[in-house]
Amino acid sequence: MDAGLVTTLSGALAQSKQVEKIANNIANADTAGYKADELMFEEALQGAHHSDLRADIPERAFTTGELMSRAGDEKSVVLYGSEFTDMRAGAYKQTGNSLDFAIQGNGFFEVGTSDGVMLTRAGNFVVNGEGQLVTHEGHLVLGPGAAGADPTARAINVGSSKFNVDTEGNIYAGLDRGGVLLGQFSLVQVQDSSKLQKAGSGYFKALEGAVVPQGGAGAPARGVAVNPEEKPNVLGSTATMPVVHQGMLEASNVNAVKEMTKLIEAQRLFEQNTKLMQGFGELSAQASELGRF
Amino acid sequence: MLNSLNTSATGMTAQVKQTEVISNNIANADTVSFKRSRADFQDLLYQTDKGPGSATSATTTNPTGVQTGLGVKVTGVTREYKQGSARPTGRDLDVMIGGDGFFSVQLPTGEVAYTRDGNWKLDGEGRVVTGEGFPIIPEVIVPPETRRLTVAPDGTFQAEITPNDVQQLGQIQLTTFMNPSGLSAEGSNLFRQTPASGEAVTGNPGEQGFGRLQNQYLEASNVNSVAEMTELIRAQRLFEMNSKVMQTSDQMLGTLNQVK
Repeated sequence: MDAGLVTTLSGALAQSKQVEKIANNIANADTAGYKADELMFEEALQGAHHSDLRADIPERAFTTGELMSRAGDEKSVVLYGSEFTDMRAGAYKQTGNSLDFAIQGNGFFEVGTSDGVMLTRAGNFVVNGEGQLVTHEGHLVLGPGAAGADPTARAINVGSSKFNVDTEGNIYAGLDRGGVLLGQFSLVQVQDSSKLQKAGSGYFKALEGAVVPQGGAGAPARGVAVNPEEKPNVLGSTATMPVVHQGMLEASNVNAVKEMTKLIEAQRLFEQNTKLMQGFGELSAQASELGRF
Repeated sequence: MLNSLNTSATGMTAQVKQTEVISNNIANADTVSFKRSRADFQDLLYQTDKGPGSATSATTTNPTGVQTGLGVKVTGVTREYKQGSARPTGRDLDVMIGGDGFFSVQLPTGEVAYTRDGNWKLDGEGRVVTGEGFPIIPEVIVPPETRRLTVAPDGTFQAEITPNDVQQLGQIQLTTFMNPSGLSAEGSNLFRQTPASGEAVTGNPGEQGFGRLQNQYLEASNVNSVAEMTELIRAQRLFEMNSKVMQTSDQMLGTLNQVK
């Protein structure tokens, strides 16, 4: 196939991928704890063509034309190489519901699912029939415990929705500040947010090296100091302790203006790429006319 | 085909749900003891185009990968059991619960339903019934010659026949649940117990964990109309934004069709 066609095709594909990303961000503009995704494009040279070129080097002096040619450039394609999730905090929304929690600063709640322990910033929890704190999916919200421990042993039993939570995530019975300690949220700090993989339902799966290593046997990573300049791409700095707010939710951090602008841009770039594709098609049609009389 | 068509469709569906919930809240803004609901959303599963850690060359790996989300889903409609404000009515058979708990109501089917609506009436036999005519539990029968009825904060129902003849008619009890948001709403201000709500715990008003009763008051709905209207605007604009993405995806497919 014509190299130019490949390049424009890759451009069109990349832009359609971009639109899919934007669509998901906008669809989740009202999802508590959602973090917007961004696609990053990179130019890639097709290695195969390079090796072809090298194999075809003629055993003679280069002509001026050959020296001037930038063979291979036109075969470059654009790839959607990687993405990053914008880990900045969303707006904090006061709900007044005692079962809503928001984390300020670098911190995630831990949730026990059938696929292992997941992290989440969506703190809209509910109490199940057994009095345990669970997510809307019915997964247990976890208290501190060893990483490999049985999640059910780390469940937070609150009994009813009548409890209060201090800024460190300690849960006390009754609506007044303090009281009998019922449990504690396990708050996990992330040191490399690029190693978090989205798992749907507002969950993130922590790949190796994602979270700050826990001090002691599964103790919450509160107060673990890491040089904030080393990892700029996280929610606040790991040097500060996450703060839990009861009766608040962290809204989605999708910026609607930015997404709509990106949408327009993606559509126009897609159009330009398809326009070029059309141009290349016409060129090859004309080329096939050349030999005719 | 572009996934974004389906993704934006899930976004539109979610905002339609949000609008439905808001419209029910606003419609019930003046319903006694109504508790507002809110729709909760979560992101759908992700399609992995390129896993984090996939090889980019013989020695390097991709640090992040590319995962594309497929939209949003409604995970639940949560009822918020915040106390509604007290509305003085001056009527003897109006009772408000200040704090936790539900009144129990006997349904004609023999089942028990729960309500916070204490806007009671008397039926032909002098029984205290709800607006629908369902008797409250425990049954209270008011003597016909009663001049004045009072309900004490601890639930004691008293009938004053003459200033010197005050009869005790019974004591109203309250029921609490571990997870009141798990109760199933049955309409007519009634709720039914479900496995998610947990076991019903019954006690006297004013005891630990139970609210106190307030006679001649009704609990207003806890709907804040300003907040609902703001949410409504949000829902409409987000719906529009999703439809714009859908339109754009459609136009892109249109552009593609013109290539040949």
